[in-house]
Amino acid sequence: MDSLFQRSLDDIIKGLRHQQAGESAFVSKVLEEVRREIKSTDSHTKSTALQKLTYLHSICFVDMSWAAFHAIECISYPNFTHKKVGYLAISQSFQESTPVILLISNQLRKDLKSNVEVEVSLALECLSRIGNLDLCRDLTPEVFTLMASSRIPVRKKAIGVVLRLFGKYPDAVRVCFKRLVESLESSDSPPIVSAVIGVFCELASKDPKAYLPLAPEFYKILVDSRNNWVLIKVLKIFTKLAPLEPRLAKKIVEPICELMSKTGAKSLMFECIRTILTSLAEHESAVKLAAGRINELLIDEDPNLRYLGLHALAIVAPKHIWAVLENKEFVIKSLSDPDPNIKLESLRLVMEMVSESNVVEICRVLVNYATKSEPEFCNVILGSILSTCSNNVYEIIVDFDWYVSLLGEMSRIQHCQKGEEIENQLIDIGMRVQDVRPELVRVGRDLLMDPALLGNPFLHRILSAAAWLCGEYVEFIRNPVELMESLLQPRTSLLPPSVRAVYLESAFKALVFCLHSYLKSATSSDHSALGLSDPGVSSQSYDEFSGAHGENGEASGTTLIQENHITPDSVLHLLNLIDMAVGPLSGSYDVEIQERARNILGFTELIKPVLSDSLHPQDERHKQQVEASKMVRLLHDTFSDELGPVSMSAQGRVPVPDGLVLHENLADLEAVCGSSLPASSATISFEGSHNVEGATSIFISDQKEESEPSSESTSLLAEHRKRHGLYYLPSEKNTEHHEANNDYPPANELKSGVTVSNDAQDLAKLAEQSFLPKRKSKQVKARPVVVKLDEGDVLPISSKIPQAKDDSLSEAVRDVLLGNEADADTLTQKAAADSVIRKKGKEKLNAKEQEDDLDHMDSQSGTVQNPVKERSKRSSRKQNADEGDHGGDKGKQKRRHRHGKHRTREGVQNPPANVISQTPVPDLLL
Amino acid sequence: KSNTHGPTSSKNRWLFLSNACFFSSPNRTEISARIILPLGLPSPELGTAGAYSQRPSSIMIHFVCLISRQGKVRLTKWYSTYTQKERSKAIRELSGVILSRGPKLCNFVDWKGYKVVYKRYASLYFCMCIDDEDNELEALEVIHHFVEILDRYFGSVCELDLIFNFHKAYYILDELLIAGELQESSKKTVAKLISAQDSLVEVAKEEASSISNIIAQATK
Repeated sequence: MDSLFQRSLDDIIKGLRHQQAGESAFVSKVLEEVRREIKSTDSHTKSTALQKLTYLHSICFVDMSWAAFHAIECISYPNFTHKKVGYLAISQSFQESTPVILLISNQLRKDLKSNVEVEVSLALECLSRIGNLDLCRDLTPEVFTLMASSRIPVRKKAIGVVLRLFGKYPDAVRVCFKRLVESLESSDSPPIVSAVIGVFCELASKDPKAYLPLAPEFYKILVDSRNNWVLIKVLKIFTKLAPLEPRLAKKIVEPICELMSKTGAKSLMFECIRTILTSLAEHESAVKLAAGRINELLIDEDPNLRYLGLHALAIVAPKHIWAVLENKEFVIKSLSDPDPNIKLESLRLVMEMVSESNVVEICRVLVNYATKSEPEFCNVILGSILSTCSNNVYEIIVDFDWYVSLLGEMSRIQHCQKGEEIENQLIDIGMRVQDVRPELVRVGRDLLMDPALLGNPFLHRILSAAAWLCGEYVEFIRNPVELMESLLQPRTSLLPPSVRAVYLESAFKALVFCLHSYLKSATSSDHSALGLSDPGVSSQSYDEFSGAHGENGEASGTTLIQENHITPDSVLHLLNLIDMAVGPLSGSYDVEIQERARNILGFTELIKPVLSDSLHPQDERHKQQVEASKMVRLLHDTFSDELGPVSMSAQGRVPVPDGLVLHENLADLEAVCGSSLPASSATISFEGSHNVEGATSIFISDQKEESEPSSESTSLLAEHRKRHGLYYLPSEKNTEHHEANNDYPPANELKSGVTVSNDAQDLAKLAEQSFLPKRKSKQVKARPVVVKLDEGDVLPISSKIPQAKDDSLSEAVRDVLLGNEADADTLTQKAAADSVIRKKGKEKLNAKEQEDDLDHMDSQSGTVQNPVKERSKRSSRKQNADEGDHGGDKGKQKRRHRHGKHRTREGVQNPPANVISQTPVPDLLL
Repeated sequence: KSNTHGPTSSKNRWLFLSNACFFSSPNRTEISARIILPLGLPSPELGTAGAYSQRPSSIMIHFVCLISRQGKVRLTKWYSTYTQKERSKAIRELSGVILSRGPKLCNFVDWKGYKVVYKRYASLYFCMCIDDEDNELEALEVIHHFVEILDRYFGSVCELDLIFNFHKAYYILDELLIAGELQESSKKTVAKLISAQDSLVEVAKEEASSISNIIAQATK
């Protein structure tokens, strides 16, 4: 009698609604009750407990896998209420992996055979939700029987379940497919047709080829049906089929256009538009009609229709850009739509419209727009600008100076988080486009000079690129001393170690460049001043060097040096700067920083004695200078080698030297590495003990907040000075300078009064100006040379050709459709079905397919005769479709694999999979 | 308290349906929602995005869910395979996205490569997850169809009806969709099938509560 005291579902629901805070406590209390009650032998108590549990499961996401067995008990009760509760619980909570799922099989079969229609419905619904391979295999015969049921609702549900059966147990196709096709023709009962079309729509979306022979039936429905649900599904099927068979496309284009102009239902109209745009894009007149319909959608006040209109434009854009251009005003206006989806879609379209002639204007407006957008959309805009402009090795960029300064501008936008992408592009352009390097260096310098930018972690990657560029192409810098100062400014301590290492390396390059140009100018002035008869080693070699260095660097380098002469004072200043800023870093914990810092320091220590003499005029300075210039020249040569982009496949093209057998000759490498590894790790492991003090001080200061970077560096400096006082030149003011500069403006403040005019104006202006078909009358500059590598330059786009995932399903369908599998009705013969196919007299699906079938016989015999040819044809087609031979290989392998699998399944029979590519559409249709 | 009364007490009607068929009237894109139910419960915390296991897209509707304006789940039905964890995460994420959208925006949300089509009826959001290539307007119509059927069954349905008759809402949905496909486009037929079920339930209940049955139970 415990049912009297049991809380009902209503009680639980009410109780849950009363709980304000302690909901989880309430739930766990109820769960406790349920656990007790569900074990009851009383069916009512048990089912109520189960119902409560199901409720909590679907509303509060409580786990109920433990109650699986109780749910199965419930569906076996004769009382319909209890059964219903059980089925609900099962279809809500069972997964394919639920252990007790097989216990359900018998009960399902019993209910599927029940006389009570509602019970059959419950069982079918349940099967459609939880059916796994075993269940589907076991129950296929019952479902097959129900597909011919006289009760329409049952028949309809059985057809719906077929989708699950085919998905999980492809062999069910051999049993049920024929009846499914027959149901297509039951025009007397619309629900059945609707259900069947739904099933075919999903099946065809996976592997359309197999259903091509059914095109006549689908066509009939397309022309005859007045049910919009059905029509939408049929259109979806044709969207998949039409690209496979041009004759079919020609046939359906007219009825679809008619449908599109006649229908009042927007959903159907949109489906027509989509079908035309995706699959019938070659039919110019149809596309025109569709474009007219899109225009209607765009001006509708319903945001859904506007969104879909834009979406449709996006579909058509690649093939018929005119349709987008027609609506450019609307597209641009939509950028400021309140709906983020519409915004995104219109941004996509704007990017589609970008071309060589309007890229400058569009980007300018978009960047302006991005500065005013909220962070997320701002970055979306920036991202799409970056990807569009860099597409296919900067195809649309003519004026690289402009683009580079745009990149600089983008980095300064407040919400910009595209650091990595901008970094990559800056360096990439630097290496590819020689002509743009001066501008690149200018942009990079501006970024480096601005101390405020260092505080924004999103910009660090960009700064790293800027530093690298300025170091690599330092010959274009107007004032290298200034560059050195910005590379070594105190706030660089805010940078992550990897970026800081780049800064140091660039500083090194800049230093070498400064010394080099100083020495060069010094010697040349010597010549003129002293009138030495002997040109001297140094100047001679410098001349040699200038010749070797390449016109570009040489020409601009010398002119620049002449412009701002590097004086002995500035060299002194530089050396001091290095000591002060780099010195403390020689004790850094980061290996990269430490190593590079030590390189620089080592170099300055070497050069300082010889150089400091030469700075103060003495008699024997010439000799010293020669020595110094030798060293400097050595390094300068090292750095002045041109770096270029490297092809992705470069490694593969290196020929293996004769006599090197990789496997054999490198076999003992492991042993060598094994023994050397500990040694090398020992050498890596940090500086000698003499530096421990400095290291700890850095460690301590690292712990501090970054708000006082300058005091950190001064303390380090003091530390350093104490130890290496010997090397310090008497100059004190720089340390003070540090402290004075502590207060920087916050990062990324728009400094200059870039007054951005408001959206509407901008957009309107853009709409007027750009997208006009006119080209700019003349390009001021010719497009500079962009280095491209023969192949493998662009990342291989992983354009995967959709492989039919469930080969077995497709094959089964083909078997049935093409082989006209007979005797499917006789379930007992199901196992022997394969062998039966060709023996028994063929029962045609319908008269139309008779001709069709003959074709297949032909093609089949063709395949038998020459299967190898067929296969090679196939793989070569694959190769064309794939990019590069790499993908082709893969495809081939896959094909082979599939082939092999098929063999084993089909035995010696002729695999019909090969036939499919030739599947003709019955001529009757066309 | 206003939010604790049962389904039979005077409830706030929130759905007003005209009789026009959805397909026949081209301009019909919304249904007037009249009264909004107050349900003073806080919305749960919103989670972050995560990866979902790949699943083959061989059905139209991957799941259906009903979420109240406060973020409470009212109904969930899953046609694709999702683990319980994925389910609760998906709902959390979606309710975060959908509830924060303004009223005049479009009814589609991109979500992990799928599309979620939602529609708000008074205090309740009806959401449906479909494939990217599927027809959004059709999904909206399926939702509307479901709402109309609910309305017909409960007689001017409100959120409380669905709260207290959650199982009935499931059975109605099962008559409408099967295996992620629309199976019945006629409201009348669905109503007929549901009432057949209901009468069967009534019979079963009467049997169970008959005196002889109780005696049999007690003496077992």
